[in-house]
Amino acid sequence: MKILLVEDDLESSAYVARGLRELGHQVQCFPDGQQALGVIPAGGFDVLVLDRMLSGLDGLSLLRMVRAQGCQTPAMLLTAKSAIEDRVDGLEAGADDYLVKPFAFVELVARLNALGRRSPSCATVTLLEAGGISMNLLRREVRRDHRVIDLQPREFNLLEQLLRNADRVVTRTMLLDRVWNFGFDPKTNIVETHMSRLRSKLNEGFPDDAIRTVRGSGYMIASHAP
Amino acid sequence: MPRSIRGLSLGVAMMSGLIITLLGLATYRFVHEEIECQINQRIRIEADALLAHHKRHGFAALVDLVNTLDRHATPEDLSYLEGADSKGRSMGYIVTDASGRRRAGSLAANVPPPGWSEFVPFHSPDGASAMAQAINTPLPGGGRLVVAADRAVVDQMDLKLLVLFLGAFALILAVGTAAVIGLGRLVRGRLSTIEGSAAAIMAGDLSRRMPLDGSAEEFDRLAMILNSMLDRIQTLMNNLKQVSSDIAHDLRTPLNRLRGRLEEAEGTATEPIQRERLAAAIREADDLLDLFSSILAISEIEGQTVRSRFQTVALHDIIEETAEAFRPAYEQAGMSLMLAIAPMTISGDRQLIQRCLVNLLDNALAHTSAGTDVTISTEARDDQVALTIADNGPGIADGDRERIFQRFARLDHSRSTSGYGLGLNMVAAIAAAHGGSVRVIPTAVGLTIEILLPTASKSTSKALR
Repeated sequence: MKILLVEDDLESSAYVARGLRELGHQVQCFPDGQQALGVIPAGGFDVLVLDRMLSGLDGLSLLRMVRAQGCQTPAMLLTAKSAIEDRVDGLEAGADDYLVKPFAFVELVARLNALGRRSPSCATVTLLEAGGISMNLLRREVRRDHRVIDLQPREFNLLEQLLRNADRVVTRTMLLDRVWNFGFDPKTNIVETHMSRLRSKLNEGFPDDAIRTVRGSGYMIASHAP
Repeated sequence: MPRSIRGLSLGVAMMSGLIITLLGLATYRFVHEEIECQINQRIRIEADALLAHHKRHGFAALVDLVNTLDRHATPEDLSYLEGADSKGRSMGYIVTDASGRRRAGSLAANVPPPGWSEFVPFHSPDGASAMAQAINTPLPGGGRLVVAADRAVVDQMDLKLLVLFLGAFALILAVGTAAVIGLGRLVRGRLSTIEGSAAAIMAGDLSRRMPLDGSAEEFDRLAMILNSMLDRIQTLMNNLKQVSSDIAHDLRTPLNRLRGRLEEAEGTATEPIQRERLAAAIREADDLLDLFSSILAISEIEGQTVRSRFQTVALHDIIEETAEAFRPAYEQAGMSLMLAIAPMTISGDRQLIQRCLVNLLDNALAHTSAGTDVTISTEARDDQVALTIADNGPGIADGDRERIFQRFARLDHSRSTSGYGLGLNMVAAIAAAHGGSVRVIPTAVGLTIEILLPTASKSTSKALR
């Protein structure tokens, strides 16, 4: 993926860029918004990563200007402020995702992957399939190898997130945000306890685990069962 | 001394009433005595003149003179002193001889005892009974002379004085009461606007100021001083806010970098023991970063800005959702989570209410053990909603009931569990931001926390004001 990174803290910027490059992405870094504004339209980026607080033109204004020009490239805002209002502002300015600093690097990677591959048709998909599990979104029916599995609504939502992001890691924070709409991290392991229920329902009668736990980052369903 | 305006008004009214009464009594006494003295004086002069006549011309001449005086007195001359004309008559007389027989004088009364008598009952010529003051003096050579004057003038004077003073008393009482009430209204009016402004400021609206009327008088001066004090406080608060958010921001960036480096090191570590230690270090860094974001979140909640996002939210929905998220964790811990809620709406921020519930449920889960029942219930109370979360766990000491809502408050037995004691402080901040309150309800078993939140209609009208 070709990623644009606008971040005024050079050390963070270098660390993030290095990590992303190691994963095989192309990364262009800019320390301020004004320079970035010039290259975005013709840059052919897959994802924009913008720090919200920048000296000069800040990330939010930059994003508004970019969106005003008609550019629809997925954008992720980074911020050191966890203020709830900031979140809303960011999403209203046209951000597709919003990540509060500090973040684990794996979190950023997981979210960028989800953003970069987000296709417009995603919204109208009615059948999700991966690793032998199929999910009919209209009938809200889940099957593993044609056996119907009865899931609670939240378990269904959890599985849906994993299936939509098949082969990509979905982090705890993403799940908290997208399944429960929690913009913060409770002390109680909500994701883990629901995940263990989902797992036991999915795996009952099957020898292998349908969901992979990626240590320290999150969960994943592989599109082809091992 | 009464401290309230009502008490002060009453005190002043009573005091002025008392002074008027004392003044009235003193005047009454003085005037009464003075008139009695004057009557006595006239009686004395009359008696002396008659005695002199008797001395010079003898008893028979005195009888003649008294008869003459009586004849000249007109029947209308009832009140002797008042009707006294230039001739100085209009008195009543009795002349008796040495044997005590009445020889002259038309005074329709019994002969009073010798000397001065203040109250001698008599009948005036038209037959009405009245009182007179009289002197009974002996005549040289036998017999007695009685000279009497009607006391009606004293009673009339007393009555006039009484009417005058009652009038004055009523007038002063009325004027004084009106003045005190008016002043009280004025003072209370000004104080209540100041009170209202102060309450709004305490509720978080630091931009609010005391109203001025431009008179530059006492209250305006007080308001101006309060306003300049508020300006100063606001400046300091803004500085403090700026400094603390700067610190939080400035510390988060290097901490974040540190975390990144640890993460990098963890990724390249070859030994499992190294990886484990680095993971532990990352968790520590996460805890610290978590602390900063909690502090920033609480400051944000305590500020005024969160209110602008308030809308009508269904409290029961949020409770059900949050409880549902926690249920598996509770069951895993061998605890049960029960709901006793009714549909009700409040004006608030969905995410904040959610966070408040999450903190309470986190808390109950962390500080109780298997077998504990936790119940969330709601109850409508007038224009408030009481949201209660109760457990039958170990509870807390009575002395800790207030303390658990303070920032960084950690009870002794919870030292072993993780966290910085910000969870319940945030709950209190969220309740306060919604115009509500939080407290621990004393119970025999376990811990019961009650949050009072205003229902939708009331807090909306509050926000509009």
